[in-house]
Amino acid sequence: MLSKNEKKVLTDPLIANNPIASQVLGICSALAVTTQLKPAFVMAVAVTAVVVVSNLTISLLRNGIPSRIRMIVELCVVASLVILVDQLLKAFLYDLSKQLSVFVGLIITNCIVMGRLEAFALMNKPLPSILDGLGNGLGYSMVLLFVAAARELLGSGKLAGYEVIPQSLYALGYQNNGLMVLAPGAFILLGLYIWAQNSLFPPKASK
Amino acid sequence: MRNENLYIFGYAGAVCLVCSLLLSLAATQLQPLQTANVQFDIQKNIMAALGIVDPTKSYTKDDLKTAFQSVRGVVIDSEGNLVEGADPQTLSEKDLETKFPLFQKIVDGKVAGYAFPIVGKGLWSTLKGYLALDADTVTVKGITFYQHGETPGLGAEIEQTWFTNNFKGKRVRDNLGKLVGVTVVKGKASESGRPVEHAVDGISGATITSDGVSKMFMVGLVKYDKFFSKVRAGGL
Repeated sequence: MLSKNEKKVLTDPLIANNPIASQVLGICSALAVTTQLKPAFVMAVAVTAVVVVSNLTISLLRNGIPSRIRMIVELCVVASLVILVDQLLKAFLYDLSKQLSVFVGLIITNCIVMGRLEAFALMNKPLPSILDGLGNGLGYSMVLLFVAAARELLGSGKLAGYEVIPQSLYALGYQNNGLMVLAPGAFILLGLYIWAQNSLFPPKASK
Repeated sequence: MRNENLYIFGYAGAVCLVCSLLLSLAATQLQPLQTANVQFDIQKNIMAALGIVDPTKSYTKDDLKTAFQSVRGVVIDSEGNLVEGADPQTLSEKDLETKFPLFQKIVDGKVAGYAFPIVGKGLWSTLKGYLALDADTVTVKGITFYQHGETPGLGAEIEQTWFTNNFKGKRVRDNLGKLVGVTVVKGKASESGRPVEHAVDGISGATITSDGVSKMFMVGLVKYDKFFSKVRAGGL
């Protein structure tokens, strides 16, 4: 179905070239929306959708975009898509859009989006561009969901809003870790994630 | 040819045109849905503050519509008098400076609670919510927040029930009848040295948001104080 090369484009950003864990892009939103699983999930879906569609759009336009204003054109496309996502969330998922508040709008500044446009979509055909966007979106989502699950579990004793840690454990003196709810908690978890990935799948090019 | 000025201007113009057309189309098409969502969300919050609906559950729009029939909306002026023939849900920004919306929970023809909007500043954003008092106009019936842009997990916890439930049963006046509001303290209310009937537990890591909540509470109460004095005096 997909050629070997296309498969690589799709799967590479999941682990080996993960936008967060290996390129360390898009950190700000990874810190901001990962206190709970639900907003992190919606954020992950929103970013994936924006990366895929903007990659496709820019790839379709790639032969016409004047190189001097290419970044402005990219920004225009990305900003329009993000506003569109925000409007759709407000119309159909009002409660979650309230929870995510400003962070949906901040997808515009997510370096992953611009990074993929500059590095891939500008010089590749539409299909590989879609796959590249999807791969990077999923790679971002993976890390986001891991951090969010860990923070919600350790910080509030819940997963996706459901109590996971039994009350009897609290009665024994167990306490939620307040640090996990704060930004440093996300930093520490991200650091651990990157460390785990680098020792399990050592980057080939690093010397 | 791709670097000619004319082409660049033309291209930029075309991109802007397409993007703005797309967005204005989306905005106008989705606006009725969005305003309806906001409207229902506000109604749900009024009813949650009054204890008619459970804020953690989701309701269909029809359910909310039916439930909202037990709420009577009135408008009062800054002197605490009722304004005849005004709809509290359609007051404009300018009207709101001198006229205040008030929602009454009606049970068997009698007023069983009052809810009114409160507005204040958090850390990042304007906090908007509803405060409900019992028929005695002193005991807090409930509080909800329907709009804010606080940090998820920290300041945003103000909309969670563990926080809002703490307000239930608190008293906004002391024994001498002085308006004192309810203060969100740092840490536990029971360890703060304040009378527990006027204080609630704070949110760790969200002191500025908590302070904002204390302030908006007081500001809202002062606005409606004249009206509630009249109610207590038996005038209304």
